Order: sequence, then structure tokens, then C-alpha cells
Amino acid sequence: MRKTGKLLLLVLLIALLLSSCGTPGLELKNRLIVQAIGIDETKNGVRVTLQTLNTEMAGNPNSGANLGEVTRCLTVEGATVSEAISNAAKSEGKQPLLSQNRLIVFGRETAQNGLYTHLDYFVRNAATRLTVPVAVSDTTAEELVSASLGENVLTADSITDILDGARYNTNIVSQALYEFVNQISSDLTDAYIPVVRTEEEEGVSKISMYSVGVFQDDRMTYELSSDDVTALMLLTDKAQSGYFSVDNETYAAQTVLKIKKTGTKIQNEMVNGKILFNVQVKMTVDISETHSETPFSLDEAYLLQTEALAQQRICEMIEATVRRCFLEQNSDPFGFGQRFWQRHPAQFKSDIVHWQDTLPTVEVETQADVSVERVGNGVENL
Amino acid sequence: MKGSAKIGVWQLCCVLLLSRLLTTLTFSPVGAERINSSDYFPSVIFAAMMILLFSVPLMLQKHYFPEKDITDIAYTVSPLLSKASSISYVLCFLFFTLVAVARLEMFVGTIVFPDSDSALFIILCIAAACYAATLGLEAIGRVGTISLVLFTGAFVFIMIAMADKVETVNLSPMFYDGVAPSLTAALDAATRTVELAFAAVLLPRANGKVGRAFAVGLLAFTCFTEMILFFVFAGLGDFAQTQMFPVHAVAVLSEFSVFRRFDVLLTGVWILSAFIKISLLLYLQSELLQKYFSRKWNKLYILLAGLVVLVIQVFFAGTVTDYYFTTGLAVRAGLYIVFVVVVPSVIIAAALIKRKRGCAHAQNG
Repeated sequence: MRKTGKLLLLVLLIALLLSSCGTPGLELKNRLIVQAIGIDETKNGVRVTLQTLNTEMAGNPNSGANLGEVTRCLTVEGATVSEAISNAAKSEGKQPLLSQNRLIVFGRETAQNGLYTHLDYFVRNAATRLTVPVAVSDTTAEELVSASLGENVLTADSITDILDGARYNTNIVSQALYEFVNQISSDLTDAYIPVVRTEEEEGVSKISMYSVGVFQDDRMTYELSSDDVTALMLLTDKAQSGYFSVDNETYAAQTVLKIKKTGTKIQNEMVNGKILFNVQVKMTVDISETHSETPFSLDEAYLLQTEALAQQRICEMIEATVRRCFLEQNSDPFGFGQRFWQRHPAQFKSDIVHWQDTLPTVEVETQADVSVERVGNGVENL
Repeated sequence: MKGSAKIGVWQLCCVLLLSRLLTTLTFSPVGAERINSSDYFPSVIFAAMMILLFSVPLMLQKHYFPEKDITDIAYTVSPLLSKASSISYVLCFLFFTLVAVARLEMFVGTIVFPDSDSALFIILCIAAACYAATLGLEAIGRVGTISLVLFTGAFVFIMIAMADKVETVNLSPMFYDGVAPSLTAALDAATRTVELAFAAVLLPRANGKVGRAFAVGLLAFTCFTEMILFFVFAGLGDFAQTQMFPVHAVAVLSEFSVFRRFDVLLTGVWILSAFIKISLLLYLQSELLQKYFSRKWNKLYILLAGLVVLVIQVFFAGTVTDYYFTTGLAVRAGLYIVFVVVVPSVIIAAALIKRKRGCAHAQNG
């Protein structure tokens, strides 16, 4: 009898605990499964563009019935982000499900006006994943999120695929929500996120990474070009793989190098009252391609020259980017201030009131150590 | 507590360690004084030292009265003192149960079911904890040991998966604002170690070398807390300070190859640990109440304690949580020191004096 009672209690508990999405309104068919969120500021608040999965189409891709495209776009407005998103439920009769969201996009103008007010919702909302990438649209977020990339192509997928390219391309940057919030709320490091654009070609939109937007406080104030992005990736030790080229004038050749492994060490010290950063880049490369009018052998002299040129190119690239950011923009997206604060807290406390004011006097020395590991399958160029 | 079944000291150590680690898991910068991230690392060492200091009465209890719990020791002084101390310990444990349930409800309501009412979950959890408490200390000890293994395994997994996201550049310099913030954080952590009060009641129920188990437990707590704080602050940076449950945020970030969503694993471990802690607290209340009322009704006491917790949590939800987050450290530390250090010290001192006088009378007689 006692055993039966316990068994009944267990069955009751299972019935109650494993009720899953039984609550009315929480079933998947009654949810707007959000894939991307675009935010643009308007005069009265914000316009939120939601790219959602067409659950009928996704559930029956081969049904033959005309169920529309795999995603749907929905634009709603409200005084705040949360109000706008809740308005989506009013217009669609479905509750948005944000846990599957893959991308947050802000319009260019919105990013230039400041993002603090729009970020809080994503930090506070437990459903938002902290690893979701954040980007700026070159135009409006609505245009990017609702871009039509062809039948059954998810814009959110395409953009995240491009941003994932940061793993094998030093010109691409990807920032997760938590990293961006960390930087944007820091007094020492300026935040940066990719700027993505859509281009129309023969009626079909194409998406590409355009530049990297750098934020001072919470406003996007300037952008970094391709070489600057590579330098940024090297200085933040986030570069993993990618290509860059050097001109070997002696051989009248251009050599394309593939980065196999790279690591950056940054040390800092105070020398005669001046802050000095010593950047050491250690890189292993493969020769990916040689481009020349006349054939030549890949001999030791050529390899040594290529290594020396690569080292010079890296140093110049880093120094030019640092100069541009420190002197022209008075901005530090590299986290040098954080490093100095970490290493010399006493000096920081006594000498520095505002790190950005110190930037024009900061000196950066760069050393690069590049070694060619493989030359590929050919022993001379064609 | 004579006549009650005993458990191994390592089992007791596992249950108490699990209970303390649950508190570490629920570490929240909300309500705590904001300090630089690296100041938390020495604070854990300072906290361990403070815990060692706060456990002096416990050591004296084990040395002079190895077979007695704190209320039994009070009984040797006066039955009235024993009654008063039992009632105060019951109230104290009831409050700890409320805090544990409130924190669990807060976690479940914020992270697991943000869009639904978590009352049903709490009702089921308390019902299950009441049932577990009726099974006795041996059952709680066994499941606590298994849970600690699961808990450790889950965290090893999360830490491995988090390793590539750790960046030491996220950390602040240590002692940037002096030693005071670390000491404050240490006091905060030490005064959350309510397991010393549990031990004052459970110590006579443990077989084995208590000193060794205590040392290992304290070392494990220190190492685990250091590690988890390192992963929280080096992984999340200052973002950790914006999160209600930073340890959960770390689990959200953890990804390793195709293994993702470790937050689900953490949620399971969290709920399991909370269930064991609540069961243990309900059991302790029943054990103390049995001493002054009939022993036959031990299950009724568990049910009553469970009902009180349920009613307070469901109908006055937020009150206990508010208390927990808004009470200043000074008040919390004061209450903790009174219950964990002063009261047991006074009882032990009085019992020792009485024993000495008794011996002197016997010799004179």
C-alpha cells in the first residue's frame, strides 16, 4: 500500500514537472522565433525589426504548399526596446521567443547617437544569450535585417557566417554582446563592433563586412579600414589566421602570406615619466602565392627577404593604426589603458586622471618576428 | 542526540561543503559592495581564515564534549538554557531555509521560468525536501555525497569549456583601493558560512576524524571559490558585476566543440544542491524540536517547518529576499557572530565552569 502511494506520488510529480510547453501561449507554434533583432532610433523612441522563423514553412519544407519564405520580417515601434518587442505580440498575436536570437544590429545613426539606452534590455533579459554577436548596419538596421538574400536564405545566418570569418580572416571582427557591453562601459578601452552593409546586385542583396566602428563612450565616432582592423586584431591578440601580402622589389614579386599562428605580447613601462608600450608579434606564415612577371627560385635569400618585409609591414601597420587612433581620434580600442592600469596601478592612480588625455604622449614600440614555415607545393614561382 | 544513527564524518563534510558551495554558486554582486575583480581573490583566503576563527567554539565543543551537540551542552548548565538555545537554533535554521528557498525561487523565476509563476515549482521542491528530510540524515548524507561528485564534475566540464574565453587582461590590479575592500568581501563570504551552525548540532552524529575532514572541507571551499571567481572575472570581466547570477552567466558562455548549453547542466546541479540544503535544514529543525516535544511526531515537525516556509515564501515572497539583499553587512555579521560564535562560546564556557565546579565538589566531598 505504502509502495503504491509512493508510486502514485512519483507519477503525479512527473506529470507536473514534465509538462513542458503545456502552458497556453508557450507552444512553439504560438511563438515568434526571433533570429535577428534590428534597432533604429526614431523621433518617438525605437523601431525594432524582428527577423522571425516562419514556423509553418520550417516545419513542412517539402509540403508543396505555398507557405512563404523561411523567414518573416516584422517591424514594430515603441518608446523603448522592450515596449516595441512586446508590441510585436500585439500585432502578431504571438509571443516573441528571444532565446534563439542570433544577431543584434543597430542602425548607423542609432550607433552614432549612443547605445547605452538600447543595450540595457539585452543585458537584463534572461532569454538573450550573452554570446550573440552585435553589429552596426551601414544604413539602417531595418534594411540589413530585412534584406532579401534569395529564397530560403536566413539573413541572420549569412551575417553570423560572415562574422565567424574572424577565425580565418584578420580583416573581420566579431564581438559578442558581453564583450561589447564590457568595453562600452569601460573608462579605459573604447568598444568596437563590425559595420555590415548590404549591396544590391541584379535584384539580389549581398551582405559584406564594411568596416569596424569604434565607440567613444557609447557613440560610434569613427571607423577602421581593412589594414587598421588587422592591426587591431594583432594588438588585441585575437588574430588567428588570415592573409596579407608584401612586395619583394628585388624579385619584382608580390608574395601573399598565410598566417598559420600568431601571438602578441604587450609589455608596458614608465621611462622618464613617459608611458612606453612594447609590442612583440610572433608569427608563423606559409607562402600562399607568389605573383611575378619573371620566374625565380624560392631560395634562402628570397625567404629571408620575405620574412624581413613581413616584419616591416606588420610594424608599419601597427604603428600607423596606433598613431591614427591615439593622435587623430584620441581613442584606445586596444586596451592599452587597461594593461597599464593592471601593471602600474600606483602610477596610474597618481598620474592619470583621464586615460584618453594621456594618449598623445604614449609611445609604442613594435617588434615582429615572422618565420616562414612552408612554401607550398611549388619550389619556384610560375 | 543520543540514540540517533550516525554517519561518516566525510559524508557530513560533503553535505556541509555542498551547502556552502551552493552559496558560492548564488554569489551575486547585487547588494554587495562593488569591489575591483582581483580583490576577490585574496578575500577568499581572508574568508577561510575568518571561518577558521569562527569555528573555534566548534573545536572546543568537539574537544570537551565530543558526544554532545550544543543544546545537550546547554542542558548540562540548565534545562531552561537548553530549551532557549534549541528554540533559537530552530528559528535560526528556519530563517536559513527561507533564505535558501528565496534564493532558489529568485534563480528559477529569473532564469528558468522568467515568464511563468514559480510558485508551483517551489511547492513541489518543498514537498520533495520534506519527504527527503523524513528519510533521515543517512539518506541526506548519501545523496549529498553523490551530489557533490556531480557538482564537481559539472564544474570541471564548465571550466574546461570556458578556458578559451579567459583573458587575464579583464582583471583589475590587486589591492588598487587598499586591503579594506578585500577584507569586507571576506567578512561577507565568511558570514554566509552558516554551515558552522549546522555542525554545532550535527557534530556528535559524525564518526571519524572531524579535524581532518574540516581541514579538507575548508581547503576545498577555498580552492573551488578561487577557481570559480577566476573564471567569472577573467571570462566575463566587469560584465560579471552587471549580472544577477554571474556563475550562471559563465555557464552560458561555456562552449566546447559541439558541447553547448552548459547552463542547463548548472541549473540541474543548482536545483539539486538547493534541494539537499533545504532537506538538511528541515531535518535539523525536526531534530531540535524532538528534544522538547514528543519524539513520535518527528515527521510532523518537518511538515510544519515545510508549511511555514511555503506560506512565507508563497504569500510574502520577496520579504526574505529583500532582507537578504538589503541588510547591511554590519548587521548580518553581528547576527552571525552572536549565533555562531558568542552563543556557543558562552554555553561551552558555562558548561565547563559547571563541570569544573562539579569535579571540585566531588573531590571535596
